[in-house]
Amino acid sequence: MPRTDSSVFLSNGEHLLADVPLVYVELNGGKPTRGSLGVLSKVREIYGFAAALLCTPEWRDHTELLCAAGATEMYYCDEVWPDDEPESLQIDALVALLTEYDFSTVLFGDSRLTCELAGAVSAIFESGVNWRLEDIVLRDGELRGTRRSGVIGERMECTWTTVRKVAVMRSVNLPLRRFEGGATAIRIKAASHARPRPQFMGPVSEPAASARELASADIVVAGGRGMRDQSTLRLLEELAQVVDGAVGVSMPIVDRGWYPYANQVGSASEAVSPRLYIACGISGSVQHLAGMRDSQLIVAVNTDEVAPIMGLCDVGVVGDLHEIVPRLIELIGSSRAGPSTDVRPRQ
Amino acid sequence: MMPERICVCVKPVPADRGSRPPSLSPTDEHAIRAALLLREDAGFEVVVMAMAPPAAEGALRRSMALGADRAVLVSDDALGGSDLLVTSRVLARLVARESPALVLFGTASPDSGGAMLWSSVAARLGWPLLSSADTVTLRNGTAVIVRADGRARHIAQFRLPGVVALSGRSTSRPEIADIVRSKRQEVERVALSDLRLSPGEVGRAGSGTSSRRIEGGRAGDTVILAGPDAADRLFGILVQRGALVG
Repeated sequence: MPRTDSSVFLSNGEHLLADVPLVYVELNGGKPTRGSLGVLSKVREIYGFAAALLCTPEWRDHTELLCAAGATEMYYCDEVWPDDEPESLQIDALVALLTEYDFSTVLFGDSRLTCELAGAVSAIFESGVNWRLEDIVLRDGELRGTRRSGVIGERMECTWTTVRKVAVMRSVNLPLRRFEGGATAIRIKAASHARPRPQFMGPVSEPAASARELASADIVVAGGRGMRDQSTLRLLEELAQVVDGAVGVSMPIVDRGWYPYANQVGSASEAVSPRLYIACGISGSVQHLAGMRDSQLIVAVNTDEVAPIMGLCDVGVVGDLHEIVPRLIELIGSSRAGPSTDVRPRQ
Repeated sequence: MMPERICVCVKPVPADRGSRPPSLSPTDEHAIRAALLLREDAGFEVVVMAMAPPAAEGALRRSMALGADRAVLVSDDALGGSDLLVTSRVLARLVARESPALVLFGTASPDSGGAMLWSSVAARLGWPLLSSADTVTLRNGTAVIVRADGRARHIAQFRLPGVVALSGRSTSRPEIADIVRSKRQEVERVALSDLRLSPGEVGRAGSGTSSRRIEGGRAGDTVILAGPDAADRLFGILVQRGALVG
């Protein structure tokens, strides 16, 4: 296992036996994602060390950030293949690293790209993959993860039966810690075309200004069948605006053509896990619940107090959304206007 | 060399209330429709395939009512408890058996592991993968996709064979005549031995992960608000829990 460079910062020699977990650092807009850094911090916290893989020619710009987040070893791939579809280079770099070095645990934050990387690593190295993990712990030296099960109020403990373990964590809410010390940087070469790479042909149009992305929103305001008509959606948009969140809708709303599919929440479309989910006039079909039950705080506004969503939510408001939502907008709007603004109770 | 077959991998899902048998999801129907459009252009055979319990046969029959030429189902008691590692192993064998030019997936929710599955299958086959595709066209042995990547759209391509995951969903109502016709069509059943897989390579035995239920969760601690000041009390709770602080 040629990880001799590591001795620069691990002086007790134990690193040669230790199993350093590898965290893939995803870049978004050229910067490491908050999720990747959260996973890095988590790994450093429970193992005492962590390796990071970063694929960009500008890797130097991020060393400080990665060390502070917990990296004790840093692997980088600075290759640029202008004609190749960029994501395939990431897979080749990972495969090269895992072929050359002996990482038995590989962890990812959650995104479409990281899921694809995790899937490829799982298949190529015949390794078990657990995903949607909210937390990981070491018990008796063995890695265990926890995630929510399909049943409300239940959790699953996940383990691996293969030598190499692949984990995708729900990273949005992982705390970011600050660590001292540096890391050794080790350059790796991507396995040249481990499999045929798709070619990147360039953009077809200018980036369009679009609504805030549902999947990454901190707060989601969602509407369903309980909305009187299409104009109610403006109410939800207004609430989303004052809380700096995104609008989501249930499937019947998309089927009626009231709102774009891109905003649909449910197991058949986008699954979300924001910090706050406000469900307005959504009774809570199994599919919808599957798409939002991992939200941290769930508020449901519904006239029907025995609607399925009332059994899942943290706060259930029995009432007409057409009255509740405008009042909520008013209250939040006033509080946002400035600390001196007096918010008077109604009546 | 022109390709002659397109495989569409589907995952029949339980219908809304769980009582009805599994059906095709709108994202899978979208992928099937895309395959049928490609068939119109160049006359491929469209094969829909799934690894699922026997009850999923109806969903596969529906795919034929929609226009698929053939439907293939791998179903075996030994597959119970299979994780993603096993599912990709089985699907890759199933696809390889058909030697298609192109494999299509519909985009399931990020949580369901769909992105991991199509990437695993592509990796096992050693084929290029393009996902988040809005459209796919075939030209001179090349698949060209338009992809919405975050907020930008771009074109990417690969030489066939390869795997494309399509975004988008659609539902359509097959014609009565097509439903009747599909009743006479057989859903092909493939056994594990047809895929040269032993029971030890599938199910729990072949899986790379295991899980067990533990306690914990949010059941039973729901706060219910009602009455004229419900919105005000809700606001109070949101402020108190710091839910509105960005």
